[in-house]
Amino acid sequence: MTDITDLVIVGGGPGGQAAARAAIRHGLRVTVLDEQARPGGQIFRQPFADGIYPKDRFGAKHAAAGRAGAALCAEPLIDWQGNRMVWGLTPGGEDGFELFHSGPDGAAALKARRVLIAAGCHDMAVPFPGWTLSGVMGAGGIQAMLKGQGVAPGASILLGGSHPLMLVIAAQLLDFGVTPVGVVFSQSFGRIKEMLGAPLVASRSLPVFAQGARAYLKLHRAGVPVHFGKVVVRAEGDDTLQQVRIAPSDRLDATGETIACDAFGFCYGFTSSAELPRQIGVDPVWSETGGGWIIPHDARMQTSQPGLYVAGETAGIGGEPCAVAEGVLAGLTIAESLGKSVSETEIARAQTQRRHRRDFATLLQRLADPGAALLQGLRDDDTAICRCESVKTGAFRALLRDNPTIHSADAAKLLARTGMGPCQGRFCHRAVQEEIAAARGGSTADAKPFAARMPARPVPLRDLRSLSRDGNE
Amino acid sequence: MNLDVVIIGGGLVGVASAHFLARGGARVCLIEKGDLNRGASGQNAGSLHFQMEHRLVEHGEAMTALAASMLPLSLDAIDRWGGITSELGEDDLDVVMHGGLMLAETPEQVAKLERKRAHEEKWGLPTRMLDQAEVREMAPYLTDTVLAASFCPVEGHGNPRLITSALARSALAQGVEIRSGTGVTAMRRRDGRWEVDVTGPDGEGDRIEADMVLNAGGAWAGRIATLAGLHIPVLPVALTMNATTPARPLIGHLIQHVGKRISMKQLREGNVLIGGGWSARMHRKGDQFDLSRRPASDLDSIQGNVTIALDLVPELEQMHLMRSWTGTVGVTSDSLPILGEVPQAPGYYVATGGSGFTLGLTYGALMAEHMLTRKTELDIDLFSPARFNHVNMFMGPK
Repeated sequence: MTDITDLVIVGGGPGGQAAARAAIRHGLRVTVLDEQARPGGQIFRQPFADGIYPKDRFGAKHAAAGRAGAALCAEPLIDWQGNRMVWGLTPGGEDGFELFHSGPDGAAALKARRVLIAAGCHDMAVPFPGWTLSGVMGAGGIQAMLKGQGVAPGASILLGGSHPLMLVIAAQLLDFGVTPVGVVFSQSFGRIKEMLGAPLVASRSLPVFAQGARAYLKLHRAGVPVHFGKVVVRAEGDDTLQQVRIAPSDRLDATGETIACDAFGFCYGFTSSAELPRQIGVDPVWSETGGGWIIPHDARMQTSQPGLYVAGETAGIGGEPCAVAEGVLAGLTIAESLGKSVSETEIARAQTQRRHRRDFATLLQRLADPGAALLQGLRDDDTAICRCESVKTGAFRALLRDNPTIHSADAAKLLARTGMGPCQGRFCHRAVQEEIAAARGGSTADAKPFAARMPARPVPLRDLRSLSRDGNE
Repeated sequence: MNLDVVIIGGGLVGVASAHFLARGGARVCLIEKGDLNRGASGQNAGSLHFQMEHRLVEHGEAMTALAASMLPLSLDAIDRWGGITSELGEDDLDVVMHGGLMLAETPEQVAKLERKRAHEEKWGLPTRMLDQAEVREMAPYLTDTVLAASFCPVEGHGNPRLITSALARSALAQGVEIRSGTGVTAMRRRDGRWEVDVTGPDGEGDRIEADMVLNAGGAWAGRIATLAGLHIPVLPVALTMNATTPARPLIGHLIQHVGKRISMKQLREGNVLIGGGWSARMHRKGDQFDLSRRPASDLDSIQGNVTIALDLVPELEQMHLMRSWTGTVGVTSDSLPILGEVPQAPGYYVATGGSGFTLGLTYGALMAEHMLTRKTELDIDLFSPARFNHVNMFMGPK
């Protein structure tokens, strides 16, 4: 048996970092595997190289997160490995796991006694007519380009959806020197105000809402129109996006109004990255508004697989404060499970903190929820339901009609190829499940998730050949 | 309804049997505990391989000769796959018969290919030997360590995703009742008929009666036989399949190897499918294999399989493994299929084992003929469950 590290954390965002700090404080040796070159995750994504934009371009908190991440990497107990894509997680013999990951220099295997998946989330895909046009993307993708590459995806950018994060991204575009052409909320202004008035908000979640309010004011002052009660129902253009059509949320067929733009970011919510726990056999649960298939866990963030923990969006969309609280809790309980002395008071405090953050996350989910009916109403028969394999919604519906014995996403995948492409169903699964539920009756979750298998992401064949796994004979 | 046949198992063999039985006028009900085509029928790599496989020719001449007795089934399968699309009135079932190569890289392997080909020639399978230059000309994408190959011009691939559903649509149109989400809980023979107790998708129980039962359970066939008090020696075996990201057309044949575990083909969508008998890990529950869970991937298998593929087709270096999956196939203890009636249980038929995808249409057609007319034009006595009388003489439905 070769070297086995105490803890491997998958994901270097706020949750993963918080866990790493808690764990090394109690003497654990920790390896962090992160897809990005530098620590930060989606929210605090750092530039791929110094100097491509001023350090404080995205505010003091973003800059401070960059410094804190760099300091964490330098800790003696931390082995930070950036540019690593983790594609496999298997039981690694008694009391441990084996992880497989790839990067620019090939694939590698790693053994760990405990594993924490804090893999974050990605934009929830919402098929609508024209969404495969070049220029249409998830709003999180726009943010990633801004923070990571220092470029904006267009000169006239529109954001549309239901998530308040749109305000923040639009304000960041302003900071960046690109004035967005507008923000389109599907909810009415009254509904948002009503939810903001909920008593919970005032007490514990002020900073987050203050950030939203500041962003809103900034957009207002810059003259960026923010629409309420409207939906982008169609993206139009020859090869690339030229304009979108918008309609009132309660009359999707009234498509007279257009907005010219060369980039459109949709933002109706987020999908949890839960593939790795599912791959090893943890059954996910369905959260309609909180990330889709998410990973259940106990009060110490441990999943049904002993030794495997989750934190942050993998456990359900909760935002940065929630990810940090769960990261801290997981770091502490993992240290304790490995025989370190951790005070129960400290764990209890972390649990309380986590509960408060989750309460707020639930509220935010409700606020940001566009309603399943609205999203389903956006796609017509001609809309691609699976972009990897170019499967149209109409063809998928016909297939369900012609094959009454199909009841699951996996069975539909075999016939329709939905979910068979490079994304492995990460983007199409929700719409696929919704269509099956509509055709058969029952709920979106009844169609079950696509099977999650190794590799979670495409891996170069030559990496598989050269991957050496010593100590595994 | 007064049923003639209850078929247990909604894979290719069960559904093909339903189609052919209904076409012969039988009243049929098919029950499947999950969804149709979710076992090996939908998970295998889709090879239409008619040459004798690597695993059948590596255990000496006597075993090879026995395995060669399956070649008439392959000849039947060639015709069936060639005609199935129009027979079912479909536009396109993605049946590709562009030829297959079985490769040899050492003089010993070349000799083995020659011996194998002699059997195939005796039974009338169209194969011919290609020397190194001929292989290079026909398949320039292969590595130049290939010394020779046997070429079968009608090999290729079917589409495991499409064929079973097409047969199911045909069966439904001919009046077959298909109950998915329905498992068998018990069965017995009473007054010359079979009673099959089932539990439906909502947990409600039901009893189905028919003159005949057909066990087409694949990897589950042994367990289904237990319900009738019988031993059917079909062993569940977990296998791994791999698919690359799509690429430009490169590999124009079914590729197999006489000395290595590999099957490879490129789909019209551009993906290369790589399989060939690499294992996956079956889950266990107590002292039983747990067939209710999909086998876990085994990275050693994936690596071993992919490495052979890269060695044989160097251009695959540029491609990615996009997807790897597992399935459980039913393999008989003697590698021959089990086709026919169990002597100790009149009216109880079995169709499983062997190369269930390539030969699935043939099994279905033969079983329909056998069950409806008590005889078959093609001699299937060798494959009868009667060869297990030495265990089943003590068994049988009580």
